[in-house]
Amino acid sequence: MHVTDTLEMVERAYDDWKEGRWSRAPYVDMLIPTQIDPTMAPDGKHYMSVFVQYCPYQLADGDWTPEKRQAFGATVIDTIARHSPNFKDLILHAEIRTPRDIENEVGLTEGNIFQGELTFDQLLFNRPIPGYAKYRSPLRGLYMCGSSTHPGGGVMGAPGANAAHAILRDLGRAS
Amino acid sequence: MSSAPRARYDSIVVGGGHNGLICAAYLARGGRSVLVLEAAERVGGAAVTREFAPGFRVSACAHLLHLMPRELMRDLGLERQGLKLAADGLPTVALSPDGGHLVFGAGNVSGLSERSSADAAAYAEWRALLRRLSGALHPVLAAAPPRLGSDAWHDRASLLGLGWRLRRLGRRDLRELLRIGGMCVHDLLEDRFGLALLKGALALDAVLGTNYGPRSPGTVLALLYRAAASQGVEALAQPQGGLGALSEALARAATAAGAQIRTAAPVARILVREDRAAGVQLASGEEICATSVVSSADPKATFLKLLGSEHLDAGFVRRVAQMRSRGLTAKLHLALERLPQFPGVATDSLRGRLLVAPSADYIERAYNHAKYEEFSSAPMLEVSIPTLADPGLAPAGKHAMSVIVQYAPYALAGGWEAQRQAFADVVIDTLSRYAPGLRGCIGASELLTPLDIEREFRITGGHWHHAELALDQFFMLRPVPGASQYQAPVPGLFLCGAGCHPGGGVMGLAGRNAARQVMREAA
Repeated sequence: MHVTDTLEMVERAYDDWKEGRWSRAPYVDMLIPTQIDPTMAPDGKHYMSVFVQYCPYQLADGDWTPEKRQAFGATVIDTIARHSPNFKDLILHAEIRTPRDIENEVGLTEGNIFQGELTFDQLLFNRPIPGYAKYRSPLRGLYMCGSSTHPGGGVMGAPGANAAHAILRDLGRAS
Repeated sequence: MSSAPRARYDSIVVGGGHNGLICAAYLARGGRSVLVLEAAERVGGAAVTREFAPGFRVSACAHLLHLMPRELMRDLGLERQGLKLAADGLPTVALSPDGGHLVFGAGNVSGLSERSSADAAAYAEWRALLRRLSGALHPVLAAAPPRLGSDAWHDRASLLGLGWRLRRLGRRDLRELLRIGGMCVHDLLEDRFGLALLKGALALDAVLGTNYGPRSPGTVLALLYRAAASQGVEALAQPQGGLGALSEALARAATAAGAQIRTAAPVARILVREDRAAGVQLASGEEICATSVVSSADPKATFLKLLGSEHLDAGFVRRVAQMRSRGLTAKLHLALERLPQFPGVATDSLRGRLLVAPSADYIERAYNHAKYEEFSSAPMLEVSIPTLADPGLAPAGKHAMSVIVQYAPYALAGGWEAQRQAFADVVIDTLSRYAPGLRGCIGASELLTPLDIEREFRITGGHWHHAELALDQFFMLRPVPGASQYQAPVPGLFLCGAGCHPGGGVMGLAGRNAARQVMREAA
C-alpha cells in the first residue's frame, strides 16, 4: 500500500529532503506481513512495516536526536492516519529507524540501502566507482560482493553470484 | 531587400530568424533559388534589437552571442556584411551577496585562487576536460544526426566518425564522459568543487534557457552541449547594434548569395499537393510554389498549425503534441537614467555578463517554485548592460539593462496578467541586493514572460530552444523521432530551426546542417 496522493506530493516530499529536512508529507510504502503470515505476531495481532521517503541522513539543523526521531515517526503515523482513521489507536509499539540508525545497526555507511545511489554515474561499469567495477579492488585478494557492486541492491543476489564467479576465475588462473 | 519575385522557387524558407537566414544563405550558395518569408516587419526572429522605451534599444530576446561558431561567421562573411562586435571576450561576473565576486575571464577566474586553491586547480582541470570533450563533440553538432539502421554512406560515416573521435579521447576522458554525461549538474559540482559561488555560476550555464534545476537529469549534457557549440572557448561577444545587427548581416549575406527575403509576409499554410510540400499560402491569400519548404518555425507550429495534422500519421502528431516546449525563462528590460553602482565590480567587468546565482542550491530553490507553477521568489539572473560597450543603444549618458530571469513558468498559476508587476518587482529587488541604488536609476521597464515571447517571436510555448534540450529530445531524437534529420515525414518539407539538432541559443548550426540536408535530399 502506498500513500501518494499526487506526483506533486512526492516532488514536494523530495524538496524537503534537498533542504535537509524529513518530508512533511512523506511518501510511504506500507506492508502488513501478518496478513499473509500470522505467525509473525501474537494471535490476532499484526505488525506493519513502512518504508518512508524522504529522510535525510544528515539534518540541516544538526544531528539526529531521540526527539527528532519521534517527531519524524509522528509525521509518518499522521500521514497514514489520514487514510486509516482508527490507525493511531491500534498502535501498541513503534520502532523508528532513520538512515543514521540503519548505519549504526546494519553497518550501511550513510544508511543507503543500496550501498551507493543508483544513479547513471554509479551504474554498470561505474559501480561502485570507475575502474573497480568488476568486484575486484586495488588490493589483490580483496573483493566486493555487496549491493554497491553491479547490478546493485534490492535483495537481488546478483552481485554476490557475479562476485563469486569473478573470484573463482581469479583462483582458476592462480592455481 | 528583394529583387523581382519569381513564380516558383527551389526552396521557400518559412521564418527569417538566424537559422532561417543561415539556411537560406547556404541554399542560395548551393545554386538554389530561395525565398525567405518572415512574418514580422523585419528579419531576426528572436535575435532582434528593438526599442522598449523612447530612445532605449535592446536585444529583445537573446542578448549575447557566444554559441555561434566563429568559423560559421567567417564562412558567411558577416564582417564584410557590416557586422561589428562592440565587445568580444567579455567576462562573466558571478555576483556574491558579500561583495566577494568571481570574475571569469579568458582562461582564468580572478578571485578564485585566493578563496580556494583546491577549487582553482579543479576549475582549471574542468576547463581542460571540457576543451578536450568539446573537440570530440563539436563535429556532432555541426552535422545532421545519423539515421540508425541506415545503409546510406553518410549515416555510417557519421556514426563511425563519432566512434573514432570518442575512441581518440583516450580511456580516461571517455570514461569520465560516460560517467558524467547523464548526471545532474548538482552532483557533478559537488564532486569537483567546494565554493558555493563557483558552483552557482557553473550550474547557471547548465540550466539557462531550459526547464530544469541543477538536480534535474540531463543538466550536465546541457553544459557539455554549450561547451561543444563554442568549442570549449567561451568567447562572449556583443554585436554593435545588438543581436538584431547580427540578423541584418545574416540577411545581407543571404541576399548577396542570391536569396530573396520578404518581410511582413506571414505564412498561413504549407501547401501539400500529391503528398508533397508544394509551396506556401500567405495570410494574405497569396500562394507561392516551391520544390521544397524549409521551416524555421518551431515544430509544433510547423506541423500542427502550418502543415496540419491531416497530412501526418497519428503517432507522429501525438509525439509532436507531447514534445516539451514550454518556456520557463523571462526577460526584463530596464531603461536606466544613469549607471547603477555594483559594489565590488570593476567598470570593465560590468560590461560583461553578471550572474545572480550565489549557489547551486539557490538555483534549485528558484526552480522548486516553477515545478508548482509559481514564479521564483528569489530568481536566478543573467544581466547585461549593453550600453557600456555600445552607448548608441540609449540616449547619451543613459543605459539599458537586459536581464534574463528564471524561473517564470509559461502556465503561471493565477495567470500572468495579475502578477506581472509583482514578478518585475521580485527581479528588481533581487538585483538591488547587488546594486543597492538600482531602483532609483530606473526610468522605464518592460517584462517579457514566456507568454509574451510566444506572442512576439511566434514560438509555441515561448521556449528559447523551441523544444526542451533533454536527453529524450536530443540528437537523433530531436525534435521528435521521424523528423530528426531536418526532414519531415511529408516529402519536400524540412525543418531548420532551434527545435532541430543541435538546438537554439543563436548558434546557427541547425540552419546550416538543414541546408546541407535539403541539398542532399533534393540532389
